[in-house]
Amino acid sequence: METTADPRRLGLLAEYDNPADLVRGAASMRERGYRRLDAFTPYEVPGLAETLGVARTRLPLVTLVAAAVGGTLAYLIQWWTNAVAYPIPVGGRPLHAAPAFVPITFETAILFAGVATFLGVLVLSRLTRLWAPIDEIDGFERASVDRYWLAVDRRDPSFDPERTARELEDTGPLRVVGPPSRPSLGIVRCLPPLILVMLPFLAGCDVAGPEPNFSLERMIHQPRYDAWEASAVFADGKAMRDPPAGSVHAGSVLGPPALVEGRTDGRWVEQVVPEVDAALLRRGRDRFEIYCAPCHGIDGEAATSVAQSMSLRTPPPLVDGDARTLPPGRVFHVATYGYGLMPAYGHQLSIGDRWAVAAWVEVLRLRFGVPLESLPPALYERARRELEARDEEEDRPALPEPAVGRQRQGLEREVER
Amino acid sequence: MSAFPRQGPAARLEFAAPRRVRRAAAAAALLGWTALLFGWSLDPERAFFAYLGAFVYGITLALGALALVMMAHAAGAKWFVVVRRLAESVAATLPLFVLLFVPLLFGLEQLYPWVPPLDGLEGHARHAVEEKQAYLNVPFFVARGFGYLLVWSVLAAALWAWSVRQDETPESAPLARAVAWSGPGLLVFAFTATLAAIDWVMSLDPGWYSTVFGVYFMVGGMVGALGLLLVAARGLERAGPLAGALAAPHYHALGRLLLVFVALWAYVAYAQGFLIWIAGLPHEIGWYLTRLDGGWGLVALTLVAGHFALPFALLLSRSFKRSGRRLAVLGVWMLAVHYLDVFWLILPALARPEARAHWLDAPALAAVLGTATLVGLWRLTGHAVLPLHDPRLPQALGYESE
Repeated sequence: METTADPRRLGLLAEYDNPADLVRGAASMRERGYRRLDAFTPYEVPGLAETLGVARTRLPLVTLVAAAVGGTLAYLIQWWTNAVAYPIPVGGRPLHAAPAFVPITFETAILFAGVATFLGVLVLSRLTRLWAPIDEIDGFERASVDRYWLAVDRRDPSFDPERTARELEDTGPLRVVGPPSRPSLGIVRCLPPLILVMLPFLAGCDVAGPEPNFSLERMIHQPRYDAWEASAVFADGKAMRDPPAGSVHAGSVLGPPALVEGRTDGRWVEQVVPEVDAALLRRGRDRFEIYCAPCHGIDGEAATSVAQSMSLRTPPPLVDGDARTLPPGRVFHVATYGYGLMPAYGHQLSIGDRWAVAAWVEVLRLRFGVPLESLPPALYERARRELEARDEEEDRPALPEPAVGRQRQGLEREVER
Repeated sequence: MSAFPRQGPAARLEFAAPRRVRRAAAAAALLGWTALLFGWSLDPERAFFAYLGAFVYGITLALGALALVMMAHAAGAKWFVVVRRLAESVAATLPLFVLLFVPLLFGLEQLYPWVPPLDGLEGHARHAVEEKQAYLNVPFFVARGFGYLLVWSVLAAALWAWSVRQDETPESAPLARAVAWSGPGLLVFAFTATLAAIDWVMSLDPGWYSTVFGVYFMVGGMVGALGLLLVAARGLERAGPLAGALAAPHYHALGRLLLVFVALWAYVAYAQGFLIWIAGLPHEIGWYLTRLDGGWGLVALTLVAGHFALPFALLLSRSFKRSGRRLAVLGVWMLAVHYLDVFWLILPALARPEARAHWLDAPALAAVLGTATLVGLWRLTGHAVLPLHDPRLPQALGYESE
């Protein structure tokens, strides 16, 4: 039931002891022209709302609007995060992937609608108000037990204190009463339930023990050990515990040291450990050109713009200079753990991939510095032809005939320095 | 409503189909069959596809009505008693579909790519068909088809028989049997209708499968059947037999049920489409690519808007649901979009560039629906339009709803 509990509206009230009398009373007052009527009953009385002419609740509208707002909001959030603020293409689907946004849009609309309906019931039926002047009438509390009240609004055009009282009496109530004479401090009435609600929070206070503590110090200084602290608890005097003997560090790879570390008895393995075949070399080339070539160059000569930028500690060429003589075991180890500024790739490349890379480095070394004229005649002719054609195309002077590879290497080295 | 003679002479309630309606149905059936036969001689393949569309459309309406009757029995819905006889008479056309199934048997080779010889198939589809030979073969298909139709016919005929027997006797024993059989009947219905959906519609594209397809098929039928029920109820209320029996609360309840099934249809359609879209597997997405290509995409959009968005938005409104007139208009609309849905499921399987609407679709629809209407009217004629002696009838007539 809607409650008109505003003190300015309270005109007269009639108390009945059964719902039928109330409905009859309400109907008779309606017949006499009263329109601003209200009733208070312990439960929903069938037919009462129709008799009083209570308008249908606006709750469905609240639900609908909340659902629309929730759905729109959820869709916009998804669109903005996925297509605008942080676009990540997934599986070739469009960034603004409307079908994928539907479930969250739907669920959020339901959530908003549900919460709004719940709050709407509380607010529209004024359950949020803990006290109203009408509560001051003696015996009114029985409206929630076994009595049925009819209220006439003071602002009803037909309202007249004396005539209305007479007419209410005619409907056969137990009694007719006016508004409470004594205005009450409503807030005072609200305090007990509020205090009751807040009482459980006291359980969080440590004031009941033998030594009451009102400070917050104990939240700052908590009895616990930090790492590496001394402790009297353990025999070795350390707060930290050693892992049990034989523990293996999580994620460690177990296997023959030659394979997983690239060395045996402190010496670098001189040969690629897995069997080298075409597939391994293809894989090695593939990984090398993805992970290593950005710094060390496609050909391993470290003639890259990244290398040029790192002028203080240049990534070395792998096919020339000091690094040329590093055995495959060492190359594998560096690929695994990194070296100097070079990060470790053990997490990105599997053991097989790192050996494949080491094998490909061997290939690059074999290939490096081979003089043109040492090629078989047919191949030599073809290489010359193609190199000249390229140089003409790029409008560069033809290179001197012998040892083309080395000469170019030298020039580039100078540029690099 | 109080003016309705609850104990009055049953004669007033007895249904007699207006001659105008009977003649129209008979004319539609006659013209439809003749034109269909003529069209079949010109273009047998297209004729069979048109006929399959009309057959599936008609039988989903009848199955939807059957399911509604059983659901109302199983749930103990009192308000539904007012329109139950109408739904029962729609479901009682199911035995006719045993006959209507026969013409399809002559077109299996044109309709279903899994019927040997498997000429048009290659790759995944061919492999899938070869693996499914144990299930997808002509004798088993025919046997299964008649099996489903037999089960449904028995269910519908039994529900009809119990219902009209209840008119004769004040004892409620026939009704109790209908209620008792409706629960198990729903299980049997769900199982057989799922298989029928797989056989008749899904196997048009034998490489494709969706586990929720049977539900889609059934829920589409429910939406159509509710549309038909709304049109019939409003028509009979206007024409007299149901005048005074149907009031806003009954329409409200029917409207709510329609809202539920419209939303369920959208949910199932979305779930199926979304899962296939997000997986993007070649053998699954192909079905949708065909059905979203060119003009079919427009049909799909129309379904989203017309089979879901529009009725959903309208049915949210309380006053809309309480108006028999508006609901009947929406009922006609739902019948139309349900046909569009069936059309969209079936016709793209006809792998022809000109596979669009064809003049043959109209006579096929007229033939199936005209014949079914005649059978439904014939069943209803001579019986009361309300289940008399149903102990819940007074409560159903006085049904109130907020």
